[in-house]
Amino acid sequence: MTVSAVNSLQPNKNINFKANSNQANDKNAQTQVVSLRSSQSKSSKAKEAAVDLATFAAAGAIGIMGYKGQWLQKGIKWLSNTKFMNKKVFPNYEIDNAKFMSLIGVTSIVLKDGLGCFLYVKQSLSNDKIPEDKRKFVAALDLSNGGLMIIMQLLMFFTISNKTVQQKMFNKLFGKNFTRSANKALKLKLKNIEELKGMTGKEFYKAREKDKKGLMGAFGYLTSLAAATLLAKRVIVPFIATPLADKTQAWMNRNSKPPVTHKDTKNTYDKTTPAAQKVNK
Amino acid sequence: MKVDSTNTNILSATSFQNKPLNKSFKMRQIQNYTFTGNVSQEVLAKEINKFNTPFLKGVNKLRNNISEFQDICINALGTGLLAPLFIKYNFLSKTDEDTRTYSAWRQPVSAVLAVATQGVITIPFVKLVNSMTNSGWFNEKCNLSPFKEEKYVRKTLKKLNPNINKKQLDIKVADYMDNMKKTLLDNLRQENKIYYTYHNEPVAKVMDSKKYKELLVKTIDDILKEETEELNRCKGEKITNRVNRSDFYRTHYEKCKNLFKQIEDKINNTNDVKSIDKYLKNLYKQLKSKKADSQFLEIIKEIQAYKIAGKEGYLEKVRKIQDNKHLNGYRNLTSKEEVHVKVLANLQSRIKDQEETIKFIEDVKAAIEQNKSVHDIEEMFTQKVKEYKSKGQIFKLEDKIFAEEVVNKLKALTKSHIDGVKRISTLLVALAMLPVSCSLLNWLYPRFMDAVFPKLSSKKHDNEAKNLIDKANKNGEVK
Repeated sequence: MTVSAVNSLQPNKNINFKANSNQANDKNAQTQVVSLRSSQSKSSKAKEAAVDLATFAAAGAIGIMGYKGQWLQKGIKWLSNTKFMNKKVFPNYEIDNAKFMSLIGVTSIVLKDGLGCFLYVKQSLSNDKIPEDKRKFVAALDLSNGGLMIIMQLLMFFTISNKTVQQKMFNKLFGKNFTRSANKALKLKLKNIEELKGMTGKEFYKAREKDKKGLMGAFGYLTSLAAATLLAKRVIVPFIATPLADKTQAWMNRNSKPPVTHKDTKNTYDKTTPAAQKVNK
Repeated sequence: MKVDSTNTNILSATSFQNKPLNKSFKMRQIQNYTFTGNVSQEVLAKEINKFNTPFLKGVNKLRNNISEFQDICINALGTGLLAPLFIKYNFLSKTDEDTRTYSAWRQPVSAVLAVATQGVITIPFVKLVNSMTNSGWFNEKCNLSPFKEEKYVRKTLKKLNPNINKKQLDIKVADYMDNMKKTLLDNLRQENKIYYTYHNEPVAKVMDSKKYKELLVKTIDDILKEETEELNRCKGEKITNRVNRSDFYRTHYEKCKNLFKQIEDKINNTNDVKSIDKYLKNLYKQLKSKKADSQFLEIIKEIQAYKIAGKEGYLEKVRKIQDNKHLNGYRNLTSKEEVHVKVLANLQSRIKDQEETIKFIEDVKAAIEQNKSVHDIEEMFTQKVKEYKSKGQIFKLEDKIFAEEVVNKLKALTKSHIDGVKRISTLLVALAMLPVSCSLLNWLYPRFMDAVFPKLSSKKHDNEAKNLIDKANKNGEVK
């Protein structure tokens, strides 16, 4: 990379890179190259900084205007009044339509992870700051990770994180605490408490049902956290994604020539000597 | 959300709460409140949790303590700590270790960014939506102003009264919440209306009459659905088990009586619940080893379930088994057929009761269709209860308070709409944030690697160009 950057400076007539130049000329040319390179880099850095500053300033100004004008609130309000919300979302949420919820869940996973994966891969591939020899592997890992994450999330969505499955698991593990006899016994016990003497059957069953529902929700959260979030997404996916990234990288390189890597920019990582020092040897 | 802009809602809400009520209405209110539940659901929930198993108590504790931010942190910990290990130490991968290590470090960096972006964007966004629902930003469908959330009320009252202590604030909040609930019910009963307050609008507005009627219909439909399900359960009930148990009581009357007497004596002779439980366990084992009838074993198990209710619980259960509806109810019957007829008759009577209840609910629904008010509907309920009482019976829906049912239904509907808004809007925000978080990661990750692991990233140092040029000049050419 750096070599090509240096080569690109050759058209400049003031610089002479001939092999038979004398020592003084060489030194002069060398100084010129370095100073030109440094001044160019300085000016491009200044330009970059100015663009960044302008972007931040514009974003800040828009942010302040948006805050003052309550754009976000107005946007959310607008969303709540849309036909889609009123005709599709609200009626289905009212009846807790499982099919609709699943559709929203699946769409959310595919959209978020799909778009995320696309952006990560695209940006990794064009990120000059990532060493060239590692860039494609990073992108390949992003791609295989993203793809697997979508598959795994969908799998989890329909299995362990599924409401019906969680209900079955909960009933299997804790169902005996909520049987008719257990509830009757609990009601009897509660009636002995001074504060609850006037409790009616309906009040008890309402509270008991709420307790069960809350416990089921928390249990669902815990199982999803353990199985889906930690085990599947953070253990299984990276474990499969890493070897898969080798294949993905090979697939990404299927049409490209073998990369020409300068010997000085080869992967020189070892635990004892920094790459820069190795170049100097 | 600026609290100042929402104060008007709290103040305006209180202003219409203090409307004078006419005397006759107040009297009716007092009568109506006699139906109100005796025990608050919060107190009941606390007491119920005390009797949950330690594991379930732990789950409940976790449920109450895990916030959205902690959820994001747990997720990020998984990404930052677990995932890199499975990338770096992956024996299945053929890529060299340093490239894997380099790639693995992307995970913790992205985890930190996830916490930062979600902490800065997602959580405040959800809080903003919550605040908007309480302060009347939305139309009726997502407007919580008639039943503001306690958290919001607390926050706003604290802003309005910065110098009060926690105890005083608790009292103020409780007063406000009670007053708000009472006002809502009063307005329903007295004016047949529900009032909403809106953002930057000082005067409360009445709920659209068409939507109000729809709400009443939805409320009664829920009750109708509940009772119809119960009727279907009764109709579909298989009475075989009940007949078998009743016939068992008939054929084993003496044995059962002796056994129950023995258990009752044991319970009476001790106050130690553990020893009763142990006794029942041993009895179960004994009966099982003697290959006693499975009905005996089932009965013992049913009694065992009353351990949680203590000595009195055990006693009440054993006495109940022996009453006229159970053991003593079938002793004079001569055959299983007679038992069957009696059990069936009981079931038929339950079905008849259920059908009558459903008929009443359908009448109520028809009354709503004819624009009857909430007060009229409650009057219908009161008349029905009186009618049953005069016959010495209890009306099944005696403890239903229609106005409260309407409020609960409206709350549930509004919350479901808000959930919908939150789901879709957070999805849109997440999608909008993706390019930002992605660019941030893309910017930060290589810089982080260069700064922290220069060897790993094979960082080209500033003097490298010079070195290369030096080297090139020495070699006589630039490659």
